[in-house]
Amino acid sequence: MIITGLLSVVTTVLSFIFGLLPIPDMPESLVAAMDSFFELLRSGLGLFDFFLGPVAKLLIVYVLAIETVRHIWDLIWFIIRKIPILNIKE
Amino acid sequence: MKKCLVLFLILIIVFSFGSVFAVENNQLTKEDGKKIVEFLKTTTSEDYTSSVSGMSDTNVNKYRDYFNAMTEKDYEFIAECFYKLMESVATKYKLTLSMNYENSINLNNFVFFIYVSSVEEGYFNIGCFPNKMCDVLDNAPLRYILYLKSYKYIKISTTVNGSSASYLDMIRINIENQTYKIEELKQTSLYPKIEPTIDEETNIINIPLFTFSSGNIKYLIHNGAPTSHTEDEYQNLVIKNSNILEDKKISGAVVSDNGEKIIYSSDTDTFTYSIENIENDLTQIFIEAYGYDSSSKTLNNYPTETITLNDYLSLRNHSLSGIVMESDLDENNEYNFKVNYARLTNTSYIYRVCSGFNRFNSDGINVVNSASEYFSIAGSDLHDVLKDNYVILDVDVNKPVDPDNPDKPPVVEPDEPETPDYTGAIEDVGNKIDELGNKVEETGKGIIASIREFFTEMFNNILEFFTNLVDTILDGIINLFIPDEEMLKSWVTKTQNDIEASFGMLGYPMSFFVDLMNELASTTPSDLIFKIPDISLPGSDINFVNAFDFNVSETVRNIPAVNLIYQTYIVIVSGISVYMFLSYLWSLFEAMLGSKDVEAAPYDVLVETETNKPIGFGADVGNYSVKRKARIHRKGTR
Repeated sequence: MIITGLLSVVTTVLSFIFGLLPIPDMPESLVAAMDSFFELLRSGLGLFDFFLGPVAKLLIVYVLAIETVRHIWDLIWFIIRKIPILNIKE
Repeated sequence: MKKCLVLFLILIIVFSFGSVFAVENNQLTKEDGKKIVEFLKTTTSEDYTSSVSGMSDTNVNKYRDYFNAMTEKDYEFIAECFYKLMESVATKYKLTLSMNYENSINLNNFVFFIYVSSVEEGYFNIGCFPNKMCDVLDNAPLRYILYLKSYKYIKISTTVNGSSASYLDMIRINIENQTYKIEELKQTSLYPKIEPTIDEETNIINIPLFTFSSGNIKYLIHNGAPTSHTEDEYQNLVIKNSNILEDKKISGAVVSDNGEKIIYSSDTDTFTYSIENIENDLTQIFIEAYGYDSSSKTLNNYPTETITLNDYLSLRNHSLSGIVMESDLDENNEYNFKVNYARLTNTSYIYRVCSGFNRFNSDGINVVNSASEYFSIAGSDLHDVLKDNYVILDVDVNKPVDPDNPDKPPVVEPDEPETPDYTGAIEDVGNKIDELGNKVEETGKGIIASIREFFTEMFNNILEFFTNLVDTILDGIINLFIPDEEMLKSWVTKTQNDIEASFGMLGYPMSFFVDLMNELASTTPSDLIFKIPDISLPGSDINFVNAFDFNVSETVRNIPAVNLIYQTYIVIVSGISVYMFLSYLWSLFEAMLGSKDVEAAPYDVLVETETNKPIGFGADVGNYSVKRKARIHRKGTR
């Protein structure tokens, strides 16, 4: 209940703050290009499995997960620091 | 560590591009889930069996419109659920899956049953697809899926070969929270062995068959396995579905004792297969069957049955005793048998003669009304009988025989009046007195046992109360701090969607990495196959090399020495990966903890290290060495 409540509060606050910022969406052409990249990646997973094995693949997923969270965190704070009314220096 | 990460990403990209020309991957993907939903969005009434009532064009259009009217979010979610279910089944049961979309949709191994409900339990079936399986399956009209949106939950189960005897997995979908849960269905074995029973009166083998879903117990009567015998090494097995009159269809498979399915077919009401080399290869036949009742539109699924071929005759439990072969072939080319009337309990009998593997050579009804009875069977019919030493007669021959005059019926002597004997009565009285004494003793013991039981029960109840109390308190504390797994999943999904919506193009890199992670984590290992194209002289018909597929993984597996080297290579790569991962985690850990010291250090020290930017969880791990110097410097100044 406690963690659930805290998570909900954080989500609500962040959604409110970032909802005020008019950031445009990614261009469709770029999204399509990345989708085609994923198609290539998907078709190449056989080669990937063969040369790296399941353990390395799993660990790559973990590294990607950690790095993604780190960069999300950085990005959130980067934007929050840019809002003058919040007066956050660090 | 940044270099390691970059190296891995480069490897991914290199492998991806390297596969452009040569790699084939047959694994299911998320796109397959989308294609299923796309199929549902473009269906016509022809995609469903005409035997399903209510599948008019109008209803199909409504049904199709529902999927077309779905929001993009729901569409993606449902598609993912289909994919997850198929992936789970494919991984667990090692199924080879492929999908062919050219001809509407052809999921070679799958049939989906869709259920809806407004509560978590109590689902009802609203339909199944694809069409080819609907021909034999009972379905509620698919138009009910129109009401899908009014239900909170969807359950999709899947099966192989359309038999509910082989339900595999099921997925519970909560549309409202956009969550799902894959569950393994409790199922019986794919090939359960059920021993047939013998009706002693009719000598018919009854094989119990019952449905898994509705619970209707019915019987498939094995009206005698033997049929025509074409050649010595061939045997036809016929099972007539005579007891289930409303069942107009029966289909099945004949499976060898090692589980290999030999034949799969269907017929109207008779199940006939020719089995090759029965003596050498088969000792048992498994039959899986299902019947379709067109009147009530119900599907009767039956578990697989076992018929032990060579033991069929022994099940009859008759012997040659009481039957005397009177002659070899007589002038009429017949064998003559004599039945000892003295040992017959009935005045009539049915005889059947069998030989070899469950084959009836001859049968008939004789009425016995004399002291001895002869019956004759054509010599041609008994050729195999004598060879195999099997003669089976449905004749009761259990009466004792007078050894001096075996042909004479036994004479039963009349009972003589007996003189009264009081010895037994006196013994009875004594026994009753003993029983009374024992009862008194047991009553005393019973009272003590009751008291002991009372206190034991009371103690157990008190113990159970406190155990439950502690459990409840612990559960409450755990629930207070640890969020529910389903809730956490839905929160992650919701947060991801919110971030993507709020951050716009800034959030796309995060979506990219999340998709990349999901892609890597969700795919199952597949063989590496190079597709070598035709190599020919341009402008001519001369082919130097014909197109073929080269399976690298299989080749490596088949050469022991190469396989050993490959396995060693994988172990080394895995070891290096684990070492690098642990180093990465350690650096991350130290960077996070070290940042606290750096932030707490005097400002002038931070200036020296040029790391006065804020360092949080997202701090660059690569700066760790600089920050560590700062900490050492600060300690050195004290």
